[in-house]
Amino acid sequence: MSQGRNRCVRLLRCLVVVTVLTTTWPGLLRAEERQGAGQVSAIEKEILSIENLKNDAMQKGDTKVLEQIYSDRLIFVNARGLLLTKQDRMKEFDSGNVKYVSFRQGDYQFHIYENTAIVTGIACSVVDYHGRINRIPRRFTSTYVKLDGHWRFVAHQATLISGGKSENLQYCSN
Amino acid sequence: MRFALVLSLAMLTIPGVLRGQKPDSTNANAEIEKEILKIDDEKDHAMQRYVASHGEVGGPELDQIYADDLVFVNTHGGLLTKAQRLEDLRSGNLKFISFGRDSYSLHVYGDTVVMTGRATSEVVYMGKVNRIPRRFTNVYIKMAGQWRLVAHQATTIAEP
Repeated sequence: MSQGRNRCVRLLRCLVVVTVLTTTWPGLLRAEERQGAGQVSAIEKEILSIENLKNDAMQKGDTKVLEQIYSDRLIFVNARGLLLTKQDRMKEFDSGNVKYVSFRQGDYQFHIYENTAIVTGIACSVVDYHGRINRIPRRFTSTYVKLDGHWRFVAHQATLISGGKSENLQYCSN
Repeated sequence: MRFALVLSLAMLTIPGVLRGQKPDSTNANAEIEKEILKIDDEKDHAMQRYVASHGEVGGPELDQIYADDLVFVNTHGGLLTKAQRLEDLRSGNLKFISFGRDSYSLHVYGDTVVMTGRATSEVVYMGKVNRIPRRFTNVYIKMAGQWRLVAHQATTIAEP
């Protein structure tokens, strides 16, 4: 009799545990997903604010700010396919060889991987580069890596948009 | 007295330890660079086989190397997903007349590697022959123990 009662109690306990788990787990998992998404979105915001800071410094030719954001081992490929180091890039700004006639950059897409962020976007700025005016929109990819607690700009490449796919140029025509 | 002893011991040993650390990390990075060059080479071979076979051969290798959320920017500034890139290769739009890559430079940041180089392959893309060299950047990230290509961008090198 008491054995049967014990079995019933154990069964009841199991039932309670299963019910609690099935009702709370999905909620907990959703909360975890939200937290993950929240973290990613916080990183995106952080990267975007650095991008804005960088863009502002580029327009002003403020190499002191750029020095802070650019990694010492930066790989920079411009829209002419030229590979530049951080020093090369700084010299371009210091010498006035890069001047922005107008500045517009956006249509960002972020891919976040723990300590690395890949950002793609479109630049429609009009730029005076070594005396040549470039008005052609460019697609760019920038890579940021978190080094010693700070996001640093480690790679950038720009490519002129050609081939006339309208969705490529929509951002610039808006 | 004890403090002086600890200080002198630290002064004697720390520089040695630091010197010892540097080659280790340099060696580790050199190993990673070798590994990335090997994977990049495997990718290029798989890509050529995939293109030549219209997607019959080389697919599993490319699928393993390309990250699922690959960002691929071609020389026309077109942004492609992994599926679009594979379709582009499979479709017959691209043919290799010759294949060449050189001038590599790699920078290792832990589990992230930025690689740049020059592509000198002669290709036919959408019926147009392209012999102009392109500068490319590849970003590899180690995910679940495997290096995956997360971003690629190519830019035609303009004449000076």
